[in-house]
Amino acid sequence: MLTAMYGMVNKAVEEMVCKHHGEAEWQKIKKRAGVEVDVFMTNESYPDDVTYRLVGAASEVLGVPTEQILNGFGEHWVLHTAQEGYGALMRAGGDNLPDFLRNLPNFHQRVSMVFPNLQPPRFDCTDITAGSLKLHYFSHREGLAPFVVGIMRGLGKMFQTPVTVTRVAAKAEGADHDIFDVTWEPAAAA
Amino acid sequence: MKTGDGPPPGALGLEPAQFAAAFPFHFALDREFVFLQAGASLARICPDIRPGVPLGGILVRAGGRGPVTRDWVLENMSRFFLLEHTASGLQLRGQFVSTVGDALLFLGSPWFTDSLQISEFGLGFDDFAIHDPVVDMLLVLQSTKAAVADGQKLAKKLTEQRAELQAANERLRT
Repeated sequence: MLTAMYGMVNKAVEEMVCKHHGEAEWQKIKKRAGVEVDVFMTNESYPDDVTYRLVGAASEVLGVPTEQILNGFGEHWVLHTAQEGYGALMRAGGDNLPDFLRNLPNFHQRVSMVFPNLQPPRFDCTDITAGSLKLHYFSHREGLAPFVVGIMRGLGKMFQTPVTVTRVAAKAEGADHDIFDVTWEPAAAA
Repeated sequence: MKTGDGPPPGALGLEPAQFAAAFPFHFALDREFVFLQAGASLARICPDIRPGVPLGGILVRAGGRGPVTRDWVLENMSRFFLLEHTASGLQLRGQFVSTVGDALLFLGSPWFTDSLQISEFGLGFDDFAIHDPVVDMLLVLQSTKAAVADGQKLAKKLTEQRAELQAANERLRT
């Protein structure tokens, strides 16, 4: 199935690479990935393949495993890219980590209604306690679970609430969808 | 067709608690234009809107169009209303419906023209009813803003590239 990803996602890869490794490395990565886009438009859709190629090329050029690239990318996404583009809306999502996570499913559903061709992932939160929840991640895209882990860690930093994220079910290993155990210090989240 | 002990078709309404959850920015006025009740989110960010307080100048017509009076409301029942909370500047968009005892109910939500406003007014998604499309509208507003910013960035890049090309051409000519 050919689907499209937010330009914002590719923009985030670009910003992250430029910030930590410089513009020259980014140009190398883009060349290696065979991507010739000058400016990624935030809400324009790009084939998923562009993102996968950029991440793969970044891993090769920078000599860092893909999983680590995606972890860092998730953190960068939350702390910088989404902040710049959607900072006001992110603040409206909650004053603390548990509130924010609770709002995440509805927010993604709203995004998918406004931008139907982008097919954002679907989230669900279950088993909510004062210090933990199970985050269910439904995506037709492969291999992006480390990105979700990075996002959770980034949110922990954003709310100054250290989080532990453990994947307890993996779609890649035959599960219906990915499930993450997300735990935090209840006192820190208050 | 009636099934089991369910309610007959068309007979359902909302209990006060359900109504308050569905309209967290609603308020009600008695025939003397004194507040009877206010939704939880409205009461939190506009604390001067509370039962027993006369509307007075607490809410006015948006854009400096004058006071909100019962006559004005009754004359314009078929239109939508844009009200402004004097103390905070928050705008409320919605409609009035008349209800029991000549009371008037305002059903509406904050009206924003910029996505930044939601947090500027100290509001979060949890303050809005789930059915309220205001949050979706903020998303649309924000994406428009992002698209304009992208366009500006692209235009800047093109201008720079053109200058570089011209400079290179100059060098080739001389």
